[in-house]
Amino acid sequence: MTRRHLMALGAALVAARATPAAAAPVDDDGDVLLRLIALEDTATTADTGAAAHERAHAQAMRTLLDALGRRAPREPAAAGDEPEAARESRLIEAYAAALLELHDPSILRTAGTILASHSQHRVRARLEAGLDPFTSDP
Amino acid sequence: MSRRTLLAGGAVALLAGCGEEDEPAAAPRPAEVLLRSLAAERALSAAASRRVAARSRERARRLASAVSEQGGRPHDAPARADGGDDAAAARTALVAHVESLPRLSGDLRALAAEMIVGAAADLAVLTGEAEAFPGTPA
Repeated sequence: MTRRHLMALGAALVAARATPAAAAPVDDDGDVLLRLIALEDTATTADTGAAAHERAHAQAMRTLLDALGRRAPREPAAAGDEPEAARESRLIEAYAAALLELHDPSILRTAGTILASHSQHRVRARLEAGLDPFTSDP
Repeated sequence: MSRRTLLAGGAVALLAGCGEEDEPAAAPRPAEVLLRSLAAERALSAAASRRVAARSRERARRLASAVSEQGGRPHDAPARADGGDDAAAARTALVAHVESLPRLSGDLRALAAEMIVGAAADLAVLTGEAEAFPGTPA
């Protein structure tokens, strides 16, 4: 290892720390959390038995986002009159996709439990609608 | 930026790189992580009633296939004797799937997400309840 190599390595290290790319995983997690919080906030506006859980999910996500030094706006869109089972299916898809983007282990586990919760909401909604609880479920 | 700073940065980067190479791999291999999920699903399939057991066996089949693809041996996940608390077994499987998330990536993490959706649905059917954060380790 020559002085030239050491200087090149040092320059690369300094450059990496000076660029936003060096913090990419944290920023990525924050962006994913913002997306999920918006979905949960919207879900809380629906008049369903799951609203209390959706509020708990949004709060948990906000706490994780705060830890990253970022804040989420509280501007929920109206949920509309979409059937609950269909809304829960969309949330399941969103969380399943988010799990592939997240990096932080703690955020991953929390998002995993919320994915599980939405799967359970879908079962409950299907049963209440007189449907098979497991249709299209792995 | 002085030559001394660049040299020091390069030395630190070099030492950090050497350390990573010298340390033993602390994280379990994907096959080992999947084996834990597979063992939990096999326990659930042994404990649950017919329909939930069939769903659990299908998840176990997919996990066993993934273990094999990762170079592991599915038979290392023990098959359990029939009986036991089906809801407790479903909860144990769900926790195993959630815990596997940070240790897997790509297609294997997507598989874990599908396992979470399925096991959570089974737990909801077995207990008649939906929870806010099911799969959270005790």
